[in-house]
Amino acid sequence: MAPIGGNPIHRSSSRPQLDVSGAAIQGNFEERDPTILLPNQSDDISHLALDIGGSLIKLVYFSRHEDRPVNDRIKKTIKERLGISNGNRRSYPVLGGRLHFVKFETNKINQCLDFISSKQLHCGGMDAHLWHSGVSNENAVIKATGGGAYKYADLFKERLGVSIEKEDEMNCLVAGANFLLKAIRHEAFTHMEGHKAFVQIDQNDLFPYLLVNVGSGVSIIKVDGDGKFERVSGTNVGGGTYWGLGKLLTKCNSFDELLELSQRGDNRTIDMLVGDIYGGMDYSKIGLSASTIASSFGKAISDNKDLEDYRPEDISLSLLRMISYNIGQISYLNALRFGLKRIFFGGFFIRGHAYTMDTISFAVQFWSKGTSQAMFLRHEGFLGALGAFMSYEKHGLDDLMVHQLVERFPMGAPYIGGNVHGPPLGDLNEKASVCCMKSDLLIRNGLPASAMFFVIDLSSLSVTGCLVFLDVSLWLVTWKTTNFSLFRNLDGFGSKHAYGIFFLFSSFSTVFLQQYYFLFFLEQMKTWDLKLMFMVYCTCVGFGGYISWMEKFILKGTEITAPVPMAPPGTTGLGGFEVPSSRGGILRPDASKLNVGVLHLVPTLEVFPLLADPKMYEPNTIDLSNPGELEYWFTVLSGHLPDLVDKAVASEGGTDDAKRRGDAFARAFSAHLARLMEEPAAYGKLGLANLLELREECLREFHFFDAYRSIKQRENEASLAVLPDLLMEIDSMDEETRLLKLVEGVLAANIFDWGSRACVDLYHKGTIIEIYRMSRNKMQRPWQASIMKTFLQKLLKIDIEDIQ
Amino acid sequence: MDRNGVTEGELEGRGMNKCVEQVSHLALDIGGSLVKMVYFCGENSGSEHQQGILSSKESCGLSNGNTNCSVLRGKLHFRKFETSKINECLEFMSSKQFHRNGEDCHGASVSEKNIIKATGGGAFKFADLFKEKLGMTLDKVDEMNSLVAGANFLLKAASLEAYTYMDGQKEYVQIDQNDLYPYLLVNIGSGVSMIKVDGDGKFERVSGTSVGGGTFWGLGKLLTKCKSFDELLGLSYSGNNRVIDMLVGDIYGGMDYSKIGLSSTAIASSFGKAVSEDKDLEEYKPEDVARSLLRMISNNIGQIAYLNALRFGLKRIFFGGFFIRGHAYTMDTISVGVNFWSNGEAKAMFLRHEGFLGALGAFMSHRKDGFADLKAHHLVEQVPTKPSRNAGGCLNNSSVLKDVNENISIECTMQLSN
Repeated sequence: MAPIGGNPIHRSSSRPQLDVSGAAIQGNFEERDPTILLPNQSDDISHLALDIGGSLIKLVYFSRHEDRPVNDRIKKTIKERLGISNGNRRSYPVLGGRLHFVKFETNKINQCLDFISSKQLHCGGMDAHLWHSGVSNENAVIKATGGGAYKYADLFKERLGVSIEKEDEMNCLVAGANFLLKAIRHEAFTHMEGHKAFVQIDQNDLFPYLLVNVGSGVSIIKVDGDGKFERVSGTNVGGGTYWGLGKLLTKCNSFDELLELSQRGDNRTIDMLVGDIYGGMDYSKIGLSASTIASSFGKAISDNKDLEDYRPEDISLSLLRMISYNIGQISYLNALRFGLKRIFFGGFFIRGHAYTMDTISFAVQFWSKGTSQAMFLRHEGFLGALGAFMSYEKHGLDDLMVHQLVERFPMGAPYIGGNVHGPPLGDLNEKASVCCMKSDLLIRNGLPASAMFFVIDLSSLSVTGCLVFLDVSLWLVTWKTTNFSLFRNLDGFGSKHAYGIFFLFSSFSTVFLQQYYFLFFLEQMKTWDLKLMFMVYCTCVGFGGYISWMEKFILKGTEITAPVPMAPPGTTGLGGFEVPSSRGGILRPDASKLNVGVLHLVPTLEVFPLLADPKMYEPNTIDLSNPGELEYWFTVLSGHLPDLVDKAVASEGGTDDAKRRGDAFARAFSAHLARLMEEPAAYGKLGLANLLELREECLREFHFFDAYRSIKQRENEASLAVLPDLLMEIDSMDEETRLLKLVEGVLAANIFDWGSRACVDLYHKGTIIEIYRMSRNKMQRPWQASIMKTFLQKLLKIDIEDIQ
Repeated sequence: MDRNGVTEGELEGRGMNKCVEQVSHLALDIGGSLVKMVYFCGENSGSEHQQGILSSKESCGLSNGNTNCSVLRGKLHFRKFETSKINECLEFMSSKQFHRNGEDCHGASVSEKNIIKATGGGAFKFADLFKEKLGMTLDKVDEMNSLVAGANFLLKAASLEAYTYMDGQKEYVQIDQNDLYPYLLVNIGSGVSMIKVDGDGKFERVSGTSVGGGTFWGLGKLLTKCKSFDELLGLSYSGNNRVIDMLVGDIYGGMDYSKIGLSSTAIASSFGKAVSEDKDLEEYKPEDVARSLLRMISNNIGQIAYLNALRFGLKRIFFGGFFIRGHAYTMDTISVGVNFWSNGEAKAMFLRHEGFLGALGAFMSHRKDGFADLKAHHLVEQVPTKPSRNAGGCLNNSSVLKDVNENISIECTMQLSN
């Protein structure tokens, strides 16, 4: 009898494959939808795959279902709330999951090992031991690609006791790109003159294309289909050249720093332009304008200057242009050779950097005379790691439908709810890496920063955080950057702000102790004439202890780990940010402009089967890439935020803890909004529905599982009290009137959808019954568009026929 | 008539004075880094020569009154100067008294004779300077036109002009004049121009790159503090690029990535090793830096050139321009690049007068208002041409590496017409 149970699972090919061995039907076989027990199914199976490149380690891991909540109480209550334990539903686990993207620097491979170890990813996830307790770690295998998969195989064996299974690099790149282009909506985009345009690629018209992976070196691959590809070319002038030469020439210590320098550079001081040779004139005969670069670094020949006489900014820009342009040109020539229209660029050299993308796009556009276009991928750096991930046989992700992956942008991803070992502030994810330069710039550009603390993790000698005091509000910004290179950038405003006091926390300090010192600083701040200081603390990886992201947050009180340091709040009210005025004008390190979120696999989201063309169906009718729309909804959602926070706090009983979390949520969501205002493409193509989902996700992240819970409860009670009367009223109507009233009722109920301002006003004025009544009045005919008559006729006729 | 007369007159005069050389025609290619000069020296070496002129005059004179030709025997000389030291060039011209020879001739108007053919961006930039210092007007000749005309002339007229260079082996290639076109001409000056040549005066600039000789020199200067291009090249001789380039083997733990045909010694990322090593610029040997830079740039040019050749189905790629200057390792790298990417189907070829294509082309443009044809007889290598590169291991000495081609003059006859 038992095997019967397997069928419903296999019915849908798009569902992740499960280990159905031992499946058994639980309970009464007479039930229509018997519960199926899959004992070999853990709801936390994690897959982990790595791409260990010459400069960076890219890590992709998958967690099934929810990450394990902080405690079982919450988990239990979620289940209750979501009705998962409801007997009428199937009780096998929701087979969703999440794909997380993380990166580390290769020369700090220990951080990566610590991370894997802390998440126990190598053991197959947190809960794996419950199911696979008999399996020892020695049999554990991690898929990995990139050269380092060979080089560091022994290290992984030694440190984690796992074997590295090497996957071919090109295979992985292609598999990763194919997956992204097929499974994720609007993964690809073009970038011309600072403008991003997301492109939806038709899955059936994807191949052939040219994939250019710009890592340390560059691989150029012609892709003809799944697993069908050829490396047709490449060049040794790639990201490693930029970074390597740049490091030698500018003494920058990190790739990001070098990129950031280029933002403020002027390559004309060092490149020989056509105009320099032609005495300011164009060489129009062959279409070269005076500003075309005739010879990269050519001006250095005739100038009697040393390296030190050139600005590092100019050198960085010149180098960036030279390499980007060269890559664009070689790529185009290869596309031409095979008649390929589409060129996708990926790899860590690009990392969403606007100028790099613009230069490559320009080169392709220039040489192809506009017939070819460069396209970029939002997950550009993770192609190899994703591909390695795809090479696991059992995950079944390869035939996912577009709608089944939903991208979310939690603040603390990928640490939500999970316990994290190690430095409390050093473990925030890569998204945070973008902030450093932002805050840096913020201050350099003269914004009123009252004080700035730098948090330095001495165990890795990296700056891991920054506390910015802006007037009365406190911002905790965290990031990871190598060494102390950033400090050099501070010189520019160092004269205005004294700095240089170092405090050393003892290595066994607890979070509370840090908190104490922290307050101590605040006190001292008032008396010292210090505008800026560095706070240094040591953390001992071993004793740092288990600190969940949530706990950390609560302990930090009003601080918030936001990915973006905002401009100072425009109002003191919650969520009342003014639109950042810095857009344009100021050069920003736009390495940060694109966020890579967590991919949620939601297999239950099937495409509506009755749609004429499911692929083209776009339920998101409000596109926020329209600046007008974005601004409107920004205002609406910002205005609505204090109220939402009140509700959310109330839903959790209005405790101090809830208040703190509510405050944090408001700041986090405001940060999201402000970020969007600054860079509308930050989260990819975004519709209103996505934004609202982002808000919900943000609420959940701060452990508000239903902001309207208590209200719903109250309203449900009220509604239930009046339900018999309503039903009687409806029963007393004739059939036609009844249908009309029911339709009106449905429409009225839908008014609540997505909380429009007008609706919220209504809401404040009375109970749900009153609103319902008012809504119904508004819903009365005539309607703008109506097929009520046809509907009635059809429905009633069928009804009559049925009776006959 | 006048030009004819001038030259004859000068020749005779010089002959009587037993003067060896008489500079008659001169052309310049003023690039971003270098000024290249080509000039013709007529020779008065005896009766044989005079007869040559006479007989040629007879044969050429025809019945057409307008055409009055004579044949000059002499040599084409090649010179270069740094653009930043253009005064040296002016002084040289002044010393050769070239600029005045027009005035000496009987009946020639000053305005006509004080014109020099010039190409390259500097022909525009320095026009005023020439006017002021020498009283010469630069007649600007299109750069691409000149390059192509120069290359065509050399490939057709001079035997043993083109050669391949692989693994240190130099091999001259005899090009069949009738099977010359189409070919790809890659001129590597400060920047790089890639020109598809379909015939005399028939060509198109199909591509180019800003990563050229100027990049090598410019970046090299910043990285090594070298004072001259030659010094930088000299450094690269003894360098080892593996110190600083990230090789395939560095990523793959010493192994080849054989599946895609990359050996462990292939460069995965130029200068890539500088990323992971915690070393400052000063800690790298300038020799190694120069070597890496040279490989990066040569290889890149070779690749882009090949891709363009492929695009138009061109089998022959000629590399010229001052970046190459007969430097073995440069040529080797370019050749390897072309060979690798074309799977041996395309060959990189080099020209002995690589640096002077533009200047020669400008020189050729005298044709329109001067001579009818220029025929090269043979190359004369005047100075010991193969400086021993191993001599005393003194590789940094720039004189050792002095250009070979500058010392090769071409013995030729010039058919003059009016």
